[in-house]
Amino acid sequence: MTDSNVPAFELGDTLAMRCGNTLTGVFVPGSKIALSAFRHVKYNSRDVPTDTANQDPVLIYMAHETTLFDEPVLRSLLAESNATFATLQQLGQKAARVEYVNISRAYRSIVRACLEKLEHEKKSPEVQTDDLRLQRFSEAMVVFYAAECLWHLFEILYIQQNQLVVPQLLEWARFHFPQTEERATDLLLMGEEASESDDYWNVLRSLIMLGEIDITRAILSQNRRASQPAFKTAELALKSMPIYQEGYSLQKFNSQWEYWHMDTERKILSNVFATEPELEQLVQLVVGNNDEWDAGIKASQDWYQYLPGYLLYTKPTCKPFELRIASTNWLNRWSMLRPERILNSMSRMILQLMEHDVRLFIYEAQKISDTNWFSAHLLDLIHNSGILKAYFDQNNVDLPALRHSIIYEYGTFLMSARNLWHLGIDYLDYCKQEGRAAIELLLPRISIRSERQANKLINLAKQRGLLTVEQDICKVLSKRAYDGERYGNALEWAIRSKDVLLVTGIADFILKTYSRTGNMLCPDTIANIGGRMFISPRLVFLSKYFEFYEFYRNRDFLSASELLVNLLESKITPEYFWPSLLIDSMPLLESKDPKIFSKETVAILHHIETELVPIIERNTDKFGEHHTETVFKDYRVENIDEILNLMRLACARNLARAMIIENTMALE
Amino acid sequence: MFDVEPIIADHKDVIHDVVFDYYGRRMATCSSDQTVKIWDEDGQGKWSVTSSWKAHSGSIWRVSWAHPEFGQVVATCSFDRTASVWEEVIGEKVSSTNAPTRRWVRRTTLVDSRTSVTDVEFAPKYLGLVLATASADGIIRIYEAPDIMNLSQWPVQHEIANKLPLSCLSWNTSTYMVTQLLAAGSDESATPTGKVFIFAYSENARKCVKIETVNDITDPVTDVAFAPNAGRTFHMLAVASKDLYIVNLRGIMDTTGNSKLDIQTVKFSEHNCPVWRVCWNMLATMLISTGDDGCVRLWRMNYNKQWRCAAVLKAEGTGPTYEPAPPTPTLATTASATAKFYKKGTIGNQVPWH
Repeated sequence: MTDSNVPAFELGDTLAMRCGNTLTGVFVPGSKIALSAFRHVKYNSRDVPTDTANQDPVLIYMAHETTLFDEPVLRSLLAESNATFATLQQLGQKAARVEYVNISRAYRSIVRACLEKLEHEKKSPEVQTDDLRLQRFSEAMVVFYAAECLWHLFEILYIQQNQLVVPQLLEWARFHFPQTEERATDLLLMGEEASESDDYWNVLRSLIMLGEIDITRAILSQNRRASQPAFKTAELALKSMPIYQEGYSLQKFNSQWEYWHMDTERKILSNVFATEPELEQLVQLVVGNNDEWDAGIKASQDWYQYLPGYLLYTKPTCKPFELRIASTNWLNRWSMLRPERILNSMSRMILQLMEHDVRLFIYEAQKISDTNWFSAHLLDLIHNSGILKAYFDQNNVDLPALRHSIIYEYGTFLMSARNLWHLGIDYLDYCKQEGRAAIELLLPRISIRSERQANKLINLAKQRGLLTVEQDICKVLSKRAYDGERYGNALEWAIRSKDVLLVTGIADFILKTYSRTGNMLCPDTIANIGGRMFISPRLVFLSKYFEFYEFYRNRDFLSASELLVNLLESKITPEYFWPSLLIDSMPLLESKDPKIFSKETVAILHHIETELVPIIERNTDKFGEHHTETVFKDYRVENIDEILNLMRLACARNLARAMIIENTMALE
Repeated sequence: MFDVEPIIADHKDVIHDVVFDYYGRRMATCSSDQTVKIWDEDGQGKWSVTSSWKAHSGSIWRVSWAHPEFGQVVATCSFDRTASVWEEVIGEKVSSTNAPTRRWVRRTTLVDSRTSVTDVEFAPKYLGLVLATASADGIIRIYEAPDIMNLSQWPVQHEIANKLPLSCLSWNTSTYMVTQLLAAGSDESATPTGKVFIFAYSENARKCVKIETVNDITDPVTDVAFAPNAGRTFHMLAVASKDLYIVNLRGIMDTTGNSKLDIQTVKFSEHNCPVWRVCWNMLATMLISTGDDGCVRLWRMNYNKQWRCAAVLKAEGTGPTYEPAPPTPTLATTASATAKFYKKGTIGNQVPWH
């Protein structure tokens, strides 16, 4: 690819243009690019300020690729087409043709509704005063008007699969060139006066060329001279023109048609219309007079405007495959008469459709600047409805792959746009593993602004079995809550994330805070952990310790003692918590009526000697004999040796009391 | 077409790195002026500096954000031979009505390197909170914070010495077929040997070892970047050297059942001059390369998995202007008439199917 084909954009940054500098860019997660000036520095150069330091302003440019969908009005188009897309996926490839026609119409009506909204909002003062938005509105209207027009034609020629195309093409042409009909309505309302209008005959010619015979007749019948023979003959000729309808015998129709044609031409030759030259022009058009049609071509707005009308009068039974030749011939004729006109891409695409060059049509459709809205939805419809399958096979177009790549592109565009991601995910769902992988990468990157949104994201991940995404979101929220000192919340999210390390970390923090300050953080959350505690042994310890803490607070000393003894024996006590746990036992040991049996008391004494004393010794090793620092973080401790002695004493006293009672009871 | 919004960076000298957090809502910049700045985007899309501090006593080469599940953590590396880890913490509440202030505190300074630390990057999060540094003495150091609740401890896990000075490194985030892939590049220009090295964790040696050298690239390398993997069965590494390279790495099993890498290198010479930096988008469907020609090139992969230059963004120009509408509007050009940028076409769909 040569450079000239690649679009270039200029930024104009002073610093980046300095000698030795260049421009660099990085992708911003989402859909932006951040640009800034760059200077390459080698590791072995001297680290000195660059010569431009403090001179040029250092700027960062946030470049955002604009799309039509920045305009809120167009969001509804995306949302509605998303719903239709989903319906179509439900239908799959096995539905009746009529269902696909309905889907096609649904898409078109979404576009039409959107065009109306655009039309309406464009007139609002907010848009009128904002040049940029006004421009965007015009742009959107051009694009979606074209999308509707092309889709409509595609529907007529390929989705409906009519035997005859002329009636539908006429309808299509009238819809897209509505000015004539509007003017005709005016003329009808004016009654007799209409014939004095300057454009009276122009409108009538245009009506005839759009195949509007009935309206033409209605207007002519209001003419002041309607009772004159010329008008009467014209009326008769128009009225008796045979219109082919499906089901008619073609042969019969052809003979009727031939007869009518000869009859009408004979009338022209017999100078019936000599007094009314304009009227004669109309009849000449109806019989397909080349000069008159050439004049019509010269007055037409685009090449295809009068093609359906021309077919009505010259080839009313035209089949879709015959349209190819008819349209080529017509365009050649048009180009000869209008050499100055260059076809724009929409006109070209219309030709491609009529010439059955769908492959080229699809290629051009991707160039419409609607970020693939048109090509993605149309290709998906083509794929699901199974139309043109033989055509694509013959032309070596891998339609499923093409559809996949365009839907993937469209889906990722939506998913990386900040406000549209929830629409994008539905498209990526239909992109097999690639789509799933994309969702897995993009979903966790959607910035979480509220718990509600987080739950929504988690649900979406759950539905798709993306376990890691779910866990990532929980972990991020846990950490966020932790940093914000909302510890209960942090613990909740950590448990939801099922990450053992994280749960342990937060449980540790709560336990350490407790032993340091005597303050139990987030009691409500801990009380409600229940069966989920088994995620981490540390969490089990925290829950159980909390249970003890509650018993103790509620003065249920017997239960408290029992639980404490269990905890001491459990082997899940974290080392840093031994002092606190043992100190907790002191008041229970010192109780006048013993709460702890002799055997357990011995066990406690054993723990003091095997757990606590080594800690103290390590502490001494680490900080020296006369330490101010201590590994003992318990809020109740001032002097370690003192507390150690007190504990031994408490054990001894309780042991004495307990033994007396136990042995007395045994004697009795 | 682009909408461009300039932000005054307020750095006193050129910016060496602009890095966004996981969500693209925060930005870290570092500069030769020895400062790091943290930016936040508000609801209206406006960026403002929320923190700025002198982080090193030399030019700061690179910044890296840790995954948000580890909190708000960045690492920096500098010409001053150190790398640092910074964490954002909530300051004391000034009053009950105001939101608590936030500030960045230094959690550690990694002083193991005796030369300029040229690159720093957090590892993919499946490895935990792990950080790799590359330095001009050719050593890659991998540090790990064993306690994610306390980021002051960063023991060195691995040290891999290389013969050539290193300028850049990149972790592979994908674990397809090969885990813990790390690439590094050297900008040494005297020896005509391969300049991109691939490392991986070896179960046998129980450490990270060099497993490959990309011999096709012998010119100095200034940046490497592994592509995010959205369902590909191979790994892609972008390399900035005398030209832009995309290296495809495929994990394969050899006959003895050992996994090894199959390496294939594709060269793109469009810049016609050295390439300094490379950057992938989120799905690795696009790539940005920074050339010395004053141009940023945007590359796009077409349906055929071929990379094509899709747009050129130039430093030059007279600043954002309007281009007059073309005389014969076509669908594409009418639609693109609102460019704030001077433009010669539109970006998007530049590589259609055909």
